[in-house]
Amino acid sequence: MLVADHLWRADRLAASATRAEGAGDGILAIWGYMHAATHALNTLLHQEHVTAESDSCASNHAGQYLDRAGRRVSAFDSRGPVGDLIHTDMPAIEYPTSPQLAAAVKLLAAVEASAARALRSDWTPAPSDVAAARSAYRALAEWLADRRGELP
Amino acid sequence: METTLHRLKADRLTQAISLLDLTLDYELVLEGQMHRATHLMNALLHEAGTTNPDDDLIHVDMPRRVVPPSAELAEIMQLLEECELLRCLHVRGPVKPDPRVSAVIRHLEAAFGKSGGIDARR
Repeated sequence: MLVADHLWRADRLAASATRAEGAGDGILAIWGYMHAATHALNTLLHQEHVTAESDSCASNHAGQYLDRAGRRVSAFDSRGPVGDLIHTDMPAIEYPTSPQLAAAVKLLAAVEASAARALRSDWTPAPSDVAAARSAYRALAEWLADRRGELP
Repeated sequence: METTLHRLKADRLTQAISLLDLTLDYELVLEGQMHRATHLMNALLHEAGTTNPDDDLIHVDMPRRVVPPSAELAEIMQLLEECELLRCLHVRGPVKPDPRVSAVIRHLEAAFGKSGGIDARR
């Protein structure tokens, strides 16, 4: 996706997650922060030229990308460059060596695990789990802002 | 996952969705509706004997596509697949909200109501 679109979507998702958290919901708040953080991560990776920016978005299937009309596009298939990540490890990429990025990715990976657990097990997230998801998003967003990649 | 837990999770998602506003929060509403419909679809598939509780679908075609055991479930799976596509475009993608979002949510509600997926089995 294009950087401007990632930033726009991240901002919207984080705002919705904050409203869900404020209303006392844990599940969708965690999913919202997770998606917002993933957009922030994709922005960072595009700006670092680790992954490719394009006017397409990731489908449910790793390595498959959709155009705005929802048609599968071949720009980023298994033979092409990686575009957006769906999750921190999907598609698998080689992250640049950066302690700050490694820390942020580790935080987001923990949120991904919480999101899956909250949705697909009898576990109910506590407010502290939602706060951890919010912190993971903020860590990436603030780092983006420090680099003037924009957001807060 | 057992059928009762699928329904419990669907209920929690219904509650979570009710705290949001479709116009303001369409991304998270769509996300919640997709997950809720997936839980209800899995519950119906388990009840029909098509899949087992240890064999849940994450998406309509993931990890595999199953043959729907009834016309009602075929309709639900088709609507859910449309919801999944809209979720990709609106949550992971750049697409501005369009009327298809509220339409697919409405149609899913109607389809679950028709198959007894939401209220009739409580």
